[in-house]
This record gives sequence, structure tokens and C-alpha cells, in this order.
Amino acid sequence: VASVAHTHDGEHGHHEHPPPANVSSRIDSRLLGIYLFIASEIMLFGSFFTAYFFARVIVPGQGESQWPPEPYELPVFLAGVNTLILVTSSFTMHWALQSIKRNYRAGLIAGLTLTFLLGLSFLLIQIREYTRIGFAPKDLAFGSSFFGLTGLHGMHVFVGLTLLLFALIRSIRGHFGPKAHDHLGVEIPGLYWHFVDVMWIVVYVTVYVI
Amino acid sequence: VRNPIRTEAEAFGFVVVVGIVFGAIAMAAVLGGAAAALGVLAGIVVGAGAGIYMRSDPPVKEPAIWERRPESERPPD
Repeated sequence: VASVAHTHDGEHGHHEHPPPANVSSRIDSRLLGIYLFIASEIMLFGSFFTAYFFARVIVPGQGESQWPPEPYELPVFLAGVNTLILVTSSFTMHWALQSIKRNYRAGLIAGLTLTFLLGLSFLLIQIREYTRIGFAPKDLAFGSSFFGLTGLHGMHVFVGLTLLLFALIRSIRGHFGPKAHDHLGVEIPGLYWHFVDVMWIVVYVTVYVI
Repeated sequence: VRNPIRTEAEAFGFVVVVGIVFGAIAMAAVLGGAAAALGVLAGIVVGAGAGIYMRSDPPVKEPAIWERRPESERPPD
């Protein structure tokens, strides 16, 4: 194999190293990565929504007359408070990024800290909701689809919190700056966090309200 | 079509829009039930679709590269 490779290199003047990966000149590879990741996440949520609506609309005796099916009830008010918390966290996330764009590092740290704490509050409230909700994933397709959809979102909040924690630690260490390529470590978690927020708004309205 | 969410600021704007739209749907659900909510959703989808169509990319001024060759030289579809 080595002799073949040597001959090949000798004939065409190639180096032994693989060619450099093609890099788009239009979009940063890290941004492209998060866009592709979010696109795949949208498809994942789409499959869970499909299962949820199937359970609600198609499965006999579950959603024909009343949703959720008796005797179950969903904590609409508590989830509404949680929704406000998560929407507020998008505002603080946006404030954090605007702060670093203006080279206001204290605003960045405060914004990320608030976003992290709001996200953590959301997650803890959701865990408390699970412990007192009165049904389990094994209770009908309703229970399975409810816990599947809200649990999937909860896991995304956890991932988002991890990203925010890394960004917060890095911001405290002074890693970020006002130039566009100096705060990608904040912007990318921000994009993900907004995605998580949008998904929860859709989950809340479709599962709890309608 | 231009990517509507190219920055965090645009993503944040999208969150606000989604919040308003789904707030309206939730309000309709509370006041008029699931049917009203679906009606509002359908109205918003149709309105957004029409808006996107009206604001779509400008008309093409020259044919695409693969359309410039004479038909006789084009590969079969």
C-alpha cells in the first residue's frame, strides 16, 4: 500500500496528508453546525408532536370529547407561569448578547446569569410538576405522549443550561469581545436557547391550553 | 429564499413573533374553544404564507445555468 501511495504521490505531486476540508466562505462552520443541529431537532420535535396529535385525535376514546381524558387534569396555570419564565429568559439572553456587542462585560455576565437562573427555575418547576401531576407515562397514550413531549423539551432545557453555564464561565474569564467573531460562544448558545423557548411556546399552547 | 434567522437578534425577534402568534391562538382557545384556536391558526398560516409569497425574491432576470443550454443538449430529466 505504501509503495502504491508513494507512486501515486510521485506521479501527481500530492502530499501524504488529506486535503483540507472545504470551508464555506459565506457562513462560519460553527454557525452552520448549530443551524443543522436545530434543523434536526425540529424534525425530532415534529415526530413527537405527530405522536401526540395521533394520541389526541386518532386513538379512540381519548380525545374525542375531552382533553385531557377524565379524570386527568393538566396544571395550566403553573405551566403558564413557567412559560413566562422561559420567555423572560429569552429577553435576558438577548440583553446579554447586546451587552457584549457594546463591550459591556458586566451586562453580559448579568444577562447570562439571569438566563441560567430562569432556565434552572423552569426545569425545577417542571420536575415538581411531574411529581404532583397525578398520572404517569404508563397511563394511556395520553400520559405517554404528554411526558414524551414535555420530557423531550425538558432535556433540551438541560442541554441549553449546560451551554449557558459554559458561556457564563467563559464570560467571567473574559473570553468574549465586541467583535462578531469574538462572541460566537454566546451567540450560538443564544440561538439554541431561543429555539428551546419557541418549542416550549408551541408545546404549552398545544398541550396545555388547546 | 433568504434565511430569516441569521443572527441571535433575528432569533430573538422570532421568539417574540411566535409568542404573540401563539398568545393569540391560546386566547382564542380559552374564549372559543379548540375550533376557534384552529381557525386563528389557519388564518395566521394563510396570512403568513401570503405575506411570504408577496415578499419573495425578485423575478429571475436570467435563466439558471442549467437552463442556458439548448434543449437538444440538455440531459434527460
